[in-house]
Amino acid sequence: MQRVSYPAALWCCGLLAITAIIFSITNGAMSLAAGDSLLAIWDALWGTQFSGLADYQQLIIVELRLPRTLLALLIGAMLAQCGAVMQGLFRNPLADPGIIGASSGAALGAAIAIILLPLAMQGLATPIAAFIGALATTMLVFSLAQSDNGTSVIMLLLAGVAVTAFSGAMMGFLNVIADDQALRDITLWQMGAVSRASTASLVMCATVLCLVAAYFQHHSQSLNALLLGEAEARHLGIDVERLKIKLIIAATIAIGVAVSVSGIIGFVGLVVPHLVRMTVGPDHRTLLPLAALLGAVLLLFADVGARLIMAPAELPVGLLTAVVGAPFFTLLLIKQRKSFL
Amino acid sequence: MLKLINLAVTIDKQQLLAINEFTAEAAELVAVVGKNGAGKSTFFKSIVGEITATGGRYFHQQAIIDWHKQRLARHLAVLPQSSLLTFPFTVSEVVALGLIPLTISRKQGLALVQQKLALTDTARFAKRSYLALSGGERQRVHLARILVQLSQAEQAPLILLDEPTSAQDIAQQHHCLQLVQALCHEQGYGALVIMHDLNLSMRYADKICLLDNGIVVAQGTPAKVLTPATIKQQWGYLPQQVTTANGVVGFL
Repeated sequence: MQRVSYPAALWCCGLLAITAIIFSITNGAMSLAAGDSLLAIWDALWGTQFSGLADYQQLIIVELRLPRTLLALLIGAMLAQCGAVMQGLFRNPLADPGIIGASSGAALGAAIAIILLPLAMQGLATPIAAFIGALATTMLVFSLAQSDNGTSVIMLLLAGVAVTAFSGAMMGFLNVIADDQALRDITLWQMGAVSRASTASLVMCATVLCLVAAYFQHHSQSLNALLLGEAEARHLGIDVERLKIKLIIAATIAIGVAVSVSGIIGFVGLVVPHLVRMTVGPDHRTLLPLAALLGAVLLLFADVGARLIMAPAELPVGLLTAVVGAPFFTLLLIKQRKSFL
Repeated sequence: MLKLINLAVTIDKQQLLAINEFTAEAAELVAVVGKNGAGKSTFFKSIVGEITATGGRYFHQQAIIDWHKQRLARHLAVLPQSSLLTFPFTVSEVVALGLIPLTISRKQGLALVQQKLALTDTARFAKRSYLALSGGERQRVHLARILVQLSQAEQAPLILLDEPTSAQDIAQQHHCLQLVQALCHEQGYGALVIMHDLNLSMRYADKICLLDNGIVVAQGTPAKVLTPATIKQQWGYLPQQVTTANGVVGFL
């Protein structure tokens, strides 16, 4: 299959990103002119008065749409990168954080923190609990699926099913004992949404994304070697055991943070790396940055869609990604069918 | 260059390998032969530390575990019988993975990849997907990859080849072994090659190491180790020995 060059793909994703941002700032329950909307952001930054929008319209842009746009970009990038890295680690293109149960583990951790801890502690404790949940489930699934001949896809998926079922049951149990406020929070999570973007959560996501992305990029060549098989990677001088642990920890930190802020948004980590591999190939040095960019763009488009489809009501964006992602996953299964039988 | 002393592998109280002493020298092609289950793969895995073995393993007078991982990778490479790679890398990308332990510039690296692709007769499908290749073609691509990997060696490098000719046609089998032989004799590489085809080992090996039950039962020049009598004893088949007009010995 013909590949697209890396710079061309970067440009393409960059243009898409700009389009998506403009689209996201101007669209919603209330449609606003593109030029005025962008000027409103300028005004808010520098205290000028260029845009012709009313105060409440400016407020919608600056306080609601801008943070939401940024959050969608950050979460999309994180999820796509984690998906790409996990697929590399498991040497299987089906290893998405949602499918192997890492996201539901994170959600369970976060739910426990929300329900059992006082509000004041939740800010920091929720992402940490989510990270612990994601790490525990990933390690469990990883050790179950691992064998001498590589990773077994069937074990991977079934272990994911088991983990997801367990966290689902625990979440149900937590729902029963939760008070109203906590219940609302948890219900939002299970569906996944980027609408509640606080400055603190934006800063946390941006920091974690930068650190984790840099870390992944640093190890991109090792991930490439790992695709050959663990023994081959070892023969190339890579400390495979340590690499796996370090990458799993980094990926689950990002998943934990993403899930604690936006809940379970499935299939971004599955679809995006797959699309990027189809266009530029599986080399992680180019796959990872492009996956981040495309993940950001796609989640933002999905969020705009979620705002518009039933306006003025809003859909949780996680529903939308699942509606698109689940058939895509099925297609991948059909493609891999031979290897199961 | 490679010296193994009292190398033993025991799994579930069963001894799979017991090598009292084994040495491989630079510029020497050693064929490792033996019937199925004789411990050939275990032997390879224990050398590189893939399975736990007791005893001493020395490479250029230094214990293998004391070698810096990346430096060892620049001197010791393994050609697997088959690879688990299922992602659609192009052939030249797979070969370029051999650059990972090296410390050379990108441009030099690309030239190196081209050179090794040409050497292994894989240059014509450099841009194709690795997954579209046949088993024999894949083996040659990995051979190119490990040759890239060893191109910065400061001391004589050692290659371990696990049945490099198993999926090749007759011309490619000879081409591949001629290449390995040339690396040994002209560039001072050491090579350990697991082989099933005794005629090929007679023809290309400088030394033969015959394994049975995880034990080296005979070691030495091909003519000394491989005789119709030993073949009958080891494999249970008595071949007819033939000698061609130009002195090549073979078994029918």
